Amino acid sequence: MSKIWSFMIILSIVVAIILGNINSITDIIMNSSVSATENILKLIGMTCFWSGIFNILQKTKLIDKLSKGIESCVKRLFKKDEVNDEAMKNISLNMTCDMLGVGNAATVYGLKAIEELNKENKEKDKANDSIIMFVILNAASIQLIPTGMITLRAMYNSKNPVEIVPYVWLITVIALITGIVACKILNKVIK
Amino acid sequence: MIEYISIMALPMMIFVIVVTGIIEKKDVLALFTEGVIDGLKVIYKIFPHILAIMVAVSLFKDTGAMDIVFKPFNGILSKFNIPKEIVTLSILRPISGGAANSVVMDIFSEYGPDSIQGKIASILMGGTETTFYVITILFGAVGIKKIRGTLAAALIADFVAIALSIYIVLNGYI
Repeated sequence: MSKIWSFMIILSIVVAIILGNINSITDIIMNSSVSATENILKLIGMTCFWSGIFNILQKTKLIDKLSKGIESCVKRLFKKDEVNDEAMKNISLNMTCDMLGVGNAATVYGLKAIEELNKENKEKDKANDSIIMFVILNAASIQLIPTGMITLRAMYNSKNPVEIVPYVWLITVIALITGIVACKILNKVIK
Repeated sequence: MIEYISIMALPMMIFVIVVTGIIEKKDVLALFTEGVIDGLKVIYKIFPHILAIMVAVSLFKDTGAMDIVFKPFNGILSKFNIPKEIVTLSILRPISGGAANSVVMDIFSEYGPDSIQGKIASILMGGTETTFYVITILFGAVGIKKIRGTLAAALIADFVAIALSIYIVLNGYI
């Protein structure tokens, strides 16, 4: 990311010099800084609101209940001898939090899950099939309701902020299936 | 029906969460305000990224550097009607969530969330993850170095999600 950022800045200044509009640089920086500030100000209220709601969710037993349901769904994706009970529990909790959009909690469970998974792993510095499957499930964004995007759309006066929901579901599911299939195939090819 | 579900989703989620909290005899307001503090921390953490990326993207676009970089691809992009902003977004999305969000805000403030660019960006963001970040964090935590096909599989999934978002919007399904 650092390289891309530097590349964008350096190239922009070089281009401005070549095109002879170097004096526009300060204007662009000033205007975009102001707009970055305006944008973050817009974000504060709703980000904090959702963060508050999700904090209530985290402290209730709702997540545990949902996670039991998830467990039975995802169990068959993993190899039995590579996943202990504690790992399975954390995988389910991680996915439940991901689905509900509770990112911070999802990360905590995710880290516990991969630690447990690596306990059953024979070569500690090399990922086994189940670890890869778990990471792929995490890299696919399975979110029931994309609250962040809906909020952002509403803030910029979208006529219908929630209209994206069914399409997000569709794409998430297809991407997830693609990821799982690619993972299964690549696991056979790359040992 | 689908529209009804989408409209109901957010209010129902809040409703269920608050009601569950009350049933479990939790101090709902205290939990809420505690969460708000975390929200402020998030804002505090993402502002540097938003500033960095918004300035860089503005420079990149307004100096004409973007046009030069994308010139070789103009043929392909215009053939499929893919907006340049979406290319920038697709490149940044797997690498940095903050950067991607900043690009989306930039697209929203320039074209609006209901424009073609805005719709593609919305769906794309909802359907993809910060792949590199997730992979680094998880494998890094346990010191796994040989990750075999993980990155490839995740990026294939991202590519499919991005292509599909563009396809759905350009063909007017939304």
